[in-house]
Amino acid sequence: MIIKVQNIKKEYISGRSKNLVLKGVSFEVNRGEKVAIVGPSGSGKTTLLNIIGLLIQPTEGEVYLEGKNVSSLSVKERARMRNKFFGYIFQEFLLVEEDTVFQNIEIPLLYSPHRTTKRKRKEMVREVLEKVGLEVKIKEKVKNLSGGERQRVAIARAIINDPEVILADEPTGLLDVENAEKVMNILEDLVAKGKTLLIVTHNELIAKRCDRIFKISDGHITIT
Amino acid sequence: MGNAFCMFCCKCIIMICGFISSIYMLIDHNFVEYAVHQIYGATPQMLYLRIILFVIFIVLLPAAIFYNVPDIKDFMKVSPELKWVWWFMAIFLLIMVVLVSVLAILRLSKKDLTEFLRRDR
Repeated sequence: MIIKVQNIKKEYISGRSKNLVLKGVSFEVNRGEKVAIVGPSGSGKTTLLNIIGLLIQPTEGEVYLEGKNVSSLSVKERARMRNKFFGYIFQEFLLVEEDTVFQNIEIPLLYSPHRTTKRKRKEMVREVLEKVGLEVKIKEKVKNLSGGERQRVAIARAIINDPEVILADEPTGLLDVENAEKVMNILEDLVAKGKTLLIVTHNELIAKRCDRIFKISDGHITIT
Repeated sequence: MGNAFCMFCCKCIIMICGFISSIYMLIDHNFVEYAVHQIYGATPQMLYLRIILFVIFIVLLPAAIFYNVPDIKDFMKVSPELKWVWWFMAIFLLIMVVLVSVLAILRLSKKDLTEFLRRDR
């Protein structure tokens, strides 16, 4: 088992109102598994993904990665864990528009504990760009790319550090059918190579391609 | 002399205000970049350091260029009694670097990654 989530609760406080989004969620994910997280808008899918990805802290509960409790790690240790263990893909791509494809993809390498020279980084970026079919775009500015290309750049950035787990939040949400298929094929290739994929989606067809579906509703989770 | 000093102080205040607002705009404009770096392994302290270095660079580079203008250098050599002006400038620049850096860091620390990542925000 690579991820274990135990009794996670998350409450958002806005002024005087409190919103308990997750009300004690528990589950386990095995290595090399492909899991879809589905549920209505505002049900806490993204929140759950961000808690697992150590981007936000739960109000209560524990997260275990490879058997290690990561809930009480320091800010520095969490940052290090994010860098080496996870690859993140977002619906809105979260790329730096003014920068080139190379500059965007090399970001995780800048914080890797294994220092790399610029030449080595270029080599590594070229390698991942080949995997996503964008090797010719290495010097292109992100703002000049199409939506599908941007998402493939985001995938390249997510996998450059060879993470164990890919967290994808609606990765095909802003893409047409053809580009969505390309993105899904790349993600499925990664799973075939032993990576674990957690994907938040509204798309039933994408959910059905996964090994298991976690349905979040009213702060609780149902596993199918 | 009094009026000149008053005018000088006004100019300094306007300059600092302009500088602070430019830094604020820069942080707001680049927040996606800061967030991406944080997501992929940067700690908030690393980002703060980056901002401090940027502020130091922006403040000290023009000062260094100004200091190295030959006429100004020569003028200071023949007017040792004006040494206090340089001390005043150095302290003023230092205060400016500290003030702008602190305000910029406060601005960035108030921008919460949690809120940024919420899609229903």
